Amino acid sequence: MTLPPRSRLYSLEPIGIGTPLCESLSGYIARLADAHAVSVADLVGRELSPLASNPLVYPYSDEGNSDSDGFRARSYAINGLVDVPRT
Amino acid sequence: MSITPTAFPRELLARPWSERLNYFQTYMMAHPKLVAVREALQNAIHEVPQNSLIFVFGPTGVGKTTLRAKVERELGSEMASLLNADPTRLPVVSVECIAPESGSFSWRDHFRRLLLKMEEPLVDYKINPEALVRTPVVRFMPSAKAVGAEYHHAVERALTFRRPTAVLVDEAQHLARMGSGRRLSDQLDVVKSLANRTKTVHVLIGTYELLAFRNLSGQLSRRSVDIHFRRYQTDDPADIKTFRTILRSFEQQLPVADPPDLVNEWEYLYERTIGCVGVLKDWLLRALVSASRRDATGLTVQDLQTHALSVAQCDKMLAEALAGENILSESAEARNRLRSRLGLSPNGSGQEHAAVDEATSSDPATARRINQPKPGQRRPIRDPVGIPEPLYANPDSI
Repeated sequence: MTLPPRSRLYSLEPIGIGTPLCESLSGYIARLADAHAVSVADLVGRELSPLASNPLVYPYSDEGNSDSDGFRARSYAINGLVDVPRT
Repeated sequence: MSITPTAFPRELLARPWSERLNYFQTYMMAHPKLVAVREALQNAIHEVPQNSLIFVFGPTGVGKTTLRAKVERELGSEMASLLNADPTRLPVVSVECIAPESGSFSWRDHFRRLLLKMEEPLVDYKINPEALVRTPVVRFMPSAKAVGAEYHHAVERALTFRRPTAVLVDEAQHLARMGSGRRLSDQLDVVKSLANRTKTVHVLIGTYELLAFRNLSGQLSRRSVDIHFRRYQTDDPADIKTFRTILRSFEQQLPVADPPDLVNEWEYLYERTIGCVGVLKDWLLRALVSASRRDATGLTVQDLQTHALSVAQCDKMLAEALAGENILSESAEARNRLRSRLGLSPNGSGQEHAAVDEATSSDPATARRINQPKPGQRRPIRDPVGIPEPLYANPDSI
């Protein structure tokens, strides 16, 4: 027998789903990162962003300055409340 | 016993040798001891409390890895509907302990292997949230860190979320390879706490070397189950009969036009396999490969003889097997020792009460003579004095 395809990340239940007090996407991502024992930056930058056609947060290119420009500069845009400033 | 002597498909003879060898290699014989141990293991996995350890001991080449593969598949098909409903869930996680090249067992590598087996993403970027400074596992110097705290934490998380029925650890005797300064019980404590914190049954499968782990502490004994995967032994006539049936089944599965008469040679085959079916199959496979290189139509006893294990090899295997079997057999002497230390009469058996009653009633005269004191002799017990103690049943007295 072959195993049906497994979910790559854990399927956490969003807190307060179905109520007006449902947790935000950034909250969900933070919990997901914690569940996988990785940092939020690594989860978003290495696992989630590469899946997007036009990534908001660019995947890391090199190890040395990984945090300097990739995730932290743009992470506040995840909840979709402001535009991403173009520099 | 459900050995159906079905032969290999005859059209296989026209196929290339690679296919024929592959057929024999992947053939898995459901011989009675394997079936019994598989059932025992599956029952144990379902019945024991979720934080238990299950030990499976067996001599080398008895079929332990086959058992693991089989149980893995069975648990997967048992849980098919659950797995479809929940894509996070895994039926079982099954890994092999790798013999440490440095001499002592590396938990870090073991945890890493567990994570890779669970197809965990970002394995190289795990962090331990309990550590004060968060440093990813690999960034600048991948091999510099010796401790595997990040991996340990990640494995705990993964097992908690993936909720496998069991974690099967093959070749678990390698856990006993440690550097100085560690004790066996430390090694086992790691497994025990992992089982406890993730509420997952851990199955440790290994040779008799694993026996060193058994009953290291009372707490562990209470939480562990032993399963013994025996070889076929000559003391039991039923075993010999089954071994011959196994040989007959193998005869029918050897994909050659002219198979040898294995049953006729059973004593020789038993001698060089010490009754282990895995050893037997490896041997037949080796002989078959050499036959394929000559493109022979049959396998002869001569072929078997050239590929047999040496007497010294068998002797070593047998010595280990006998030592293990000896430890695992519950002797009457050990039981008596336990009973006398508990303050019970040492020669008790299961039907102790019945036996004692019978002894007294069969010869009433003797019994009375022993029980009756001489006139005027005090009974050697203390008489109750003072106010009688209240019984413990009253909950208000707590």
